[in-house]
Amino acid sequence: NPYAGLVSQLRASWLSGKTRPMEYRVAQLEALGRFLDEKKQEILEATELDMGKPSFEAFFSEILLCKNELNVTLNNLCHWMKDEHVDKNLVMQLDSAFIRKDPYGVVLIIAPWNYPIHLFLVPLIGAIAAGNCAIIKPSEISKHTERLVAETLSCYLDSDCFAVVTGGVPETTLLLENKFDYIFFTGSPPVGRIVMTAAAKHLTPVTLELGGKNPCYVSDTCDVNNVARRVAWGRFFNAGQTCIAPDYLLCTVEMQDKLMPALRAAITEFFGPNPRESPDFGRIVSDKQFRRIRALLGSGRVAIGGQTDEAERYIAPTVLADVQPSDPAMQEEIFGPILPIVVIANMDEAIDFINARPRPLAIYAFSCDSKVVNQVLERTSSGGFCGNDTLMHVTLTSLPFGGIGNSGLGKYHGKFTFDTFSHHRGCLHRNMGLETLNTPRYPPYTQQKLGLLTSTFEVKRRGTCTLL
Amino acid sequence: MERMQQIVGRARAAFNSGRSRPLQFRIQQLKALERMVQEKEKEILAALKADLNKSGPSASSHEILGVLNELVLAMEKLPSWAAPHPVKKDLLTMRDKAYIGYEPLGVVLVIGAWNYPFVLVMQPLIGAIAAGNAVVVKPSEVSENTAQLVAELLPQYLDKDLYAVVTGGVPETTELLTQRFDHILYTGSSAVGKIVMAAAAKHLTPVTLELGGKSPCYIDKDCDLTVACRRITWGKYMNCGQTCIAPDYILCDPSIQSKVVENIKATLKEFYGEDVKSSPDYERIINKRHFKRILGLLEGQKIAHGGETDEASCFIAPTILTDVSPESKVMEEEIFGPVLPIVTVKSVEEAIEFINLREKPLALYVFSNNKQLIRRVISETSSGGMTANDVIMHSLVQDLPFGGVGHSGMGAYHGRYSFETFSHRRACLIKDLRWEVVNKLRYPPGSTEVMRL
Repeated sequence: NPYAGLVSQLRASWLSGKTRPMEYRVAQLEALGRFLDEKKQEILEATELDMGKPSFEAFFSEILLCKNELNVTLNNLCHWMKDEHVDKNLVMQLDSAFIRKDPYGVVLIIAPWNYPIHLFLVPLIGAIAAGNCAIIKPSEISKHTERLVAETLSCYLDSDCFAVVTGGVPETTLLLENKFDYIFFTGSPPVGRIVMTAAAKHLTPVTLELGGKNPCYVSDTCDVNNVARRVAWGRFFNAGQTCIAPDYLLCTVEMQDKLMPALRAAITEFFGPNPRESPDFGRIVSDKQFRRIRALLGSGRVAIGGQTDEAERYIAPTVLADVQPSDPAMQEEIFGPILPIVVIANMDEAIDFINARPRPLAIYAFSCDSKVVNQVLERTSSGGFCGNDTLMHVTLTSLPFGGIGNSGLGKYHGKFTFDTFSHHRGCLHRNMGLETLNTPRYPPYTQQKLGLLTSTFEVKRRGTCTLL
Repeated sequence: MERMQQIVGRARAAFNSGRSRPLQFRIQQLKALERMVQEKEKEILAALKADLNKSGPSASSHEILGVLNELVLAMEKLPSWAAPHPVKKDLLTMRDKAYIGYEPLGVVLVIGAWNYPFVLVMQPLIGAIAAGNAVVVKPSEVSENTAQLVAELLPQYLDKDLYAVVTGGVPETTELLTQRFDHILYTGSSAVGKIVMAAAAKHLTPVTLELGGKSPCYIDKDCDLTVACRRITWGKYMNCGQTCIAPDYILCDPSIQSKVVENIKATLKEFYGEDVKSSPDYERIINKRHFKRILGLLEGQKIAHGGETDEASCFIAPTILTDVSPESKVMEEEIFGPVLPIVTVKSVEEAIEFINLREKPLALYVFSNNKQLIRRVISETSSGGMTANDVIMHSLVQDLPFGGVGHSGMGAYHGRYSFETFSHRRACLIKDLRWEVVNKLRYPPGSTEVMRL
């Protein structure tokens, strides 16, 4: 196996204990910060070449959000690393019971192409903070960013403990044959299954950040203009290539009619009369993805946009009206700048529609009536939920970010990333004295001993008491 | 096997009905479980005696007491565990509601093991019910009396559709694992753990695997040997060594090896009397297959104490092996029996290196008066959990997560951790539809001025 040597080299570094001291972890994290600062231009350029990512968007998602995560981690690392002491029962009052945060060892981070810096860097922050060594496998599809990461990251991070592996499916398959102590994967559900199956061979725990079709319900009582802006922003960010983008809209036929001009206005406000000329609208990452998304245009009827240019891999911000559940656009995660609207009669029908489908990464609901928002929240299940906006729930580092069912397992962001990459080890440090207190547990067993054990170990309901 | 599909289908339909969501319902089911344990205590003890020759007090303290404690904790804490947890907001979300909601996962599968057959299905079941799920329970067929009893009792006390028991062996479990679950908690061997995880991968089902390994026990020269050996003897030979967190083998300096043996011998006499076989407190090996397996581990070993066996009753006497070679068979697999090998090491460094060369164990033990040494062993090794100056006890602290790492498992449960294992933590952000002016900052057209902001 071509990567076995690399993995054992990293494992040797891990066993040497190099990554354990807080100072080391802080130094590596600060180096990551310098990478973001010094390579900012290169990152903006690479992502523009890869998918026409507007520099405003790239700055926001690839630099700003990453620096936030870095700062939250640096500000709190000392506290997160500390042993967590827990409550003890009567018998253990003189003992010390605590949870230790142990690193796992050598971890593998597999990143996708749509936010190619963010989606390896934010997991990496947690992996380093938790004291692990890591192999990073960026996506070969965002090839300019892949090259940038492969060539420059090693100038910042300790190459004894951190490595970048490049390649496509065959290379990743070979990489996955090695034993890792944790695997963090962001990508599609089918590949998620392959990763978890490979991990099972070594009993490697995994976090899978996958995808799905994120529904967006718009009730009849809402401020149409604000809804249109927020939905359009979330849908067309990165030309729709966002795992938490609102994938399709559910609303009544009356709301569809009201929304259409508002959506048109929002799109014009954002991208001008010809989005193709706007520096703020991205492109599709590859010819294969372009052709896949273009084929979805045959769903419903094109109410806004619909123009495409294969040479540029440009697909206009598009809204499809009157889409049927059986249409192509409703069969797969769109991952492109197309917003289908599926007409339903009322909120209950919308909720049933959502619940009849695999659980998505995010659910959105828009209404001036908070009861409606709460109903959708309470009667559905998804990785995360945002009421009256799109995407924003993942920018708050105190909220966990992850899927459920087909949209993934595990979570990260903020402290959750640190927790993901650390093993929470239950520790009890007992006193060698007071051996007489242990007598009730030893054979020969008697009812009297059992009675004593019960009274010292028992958890009683509040409001009851034993008369000794 | 349509039967499996039907059972899981019924559980899913029952979950989708929504009746397991209200806290009141869950608490009512937990109360019913509590009644079951209290009313059927005699039957439970009888099943454990039939399966493992567990004595009444032993079964009560190791299986029943723990279950009752877990029930009381869950019923008491459920409202606070299940309440939405507000989170710290930032500048952009100041005016919004941001919290983590705890939601049930759906239909979960609990696969039990045979060594503590009652508590190892009950404790996960309690957490799964508390979290609002439907549960399919598959007790180990090896501890057949307890499996039978659980299959009979649960439907008498709990909602029959939401909580189902499936009995059977490998073929039934394999069939069950083809169904889609929303979480699987498996207790058993690492080998089968891999099979469970691979089956779960097909459905992207998260798993908690409580596996095993060889839990090392390092005895420092600087410690109270009498106390240390008594505690080790207790943890090693309880349930006839068939405990996932039993101290599997001892590491110590050659100079104290014989003293360790003497102390353990003396303690054994104290615990089980002169004739261990006739002590009501000494269990038996679960079946002939394991009996033969453990017997095989004794081949070629220096038996310092014990070694007597009786196949008819699956009896193996408490046994100590000295000067054991690290390459011998008894040091390759988890012993899971009343055989205690002692491997000599010259220093704590050697002990740590020895431990780190092997798979990460479920538990790790170190005995020493030297706090620095203990801290060193903890920080230079990895294990599911650990206890210093005792054995087993970390698993009895309600607020400590109980689980493995590496080959000894993934995920954790017990107490609040059971509830969290079986819940989905859903990030919720509820914004206002007004205050659009704040959002204008993020909308295109972007400009360099705004970026500098």
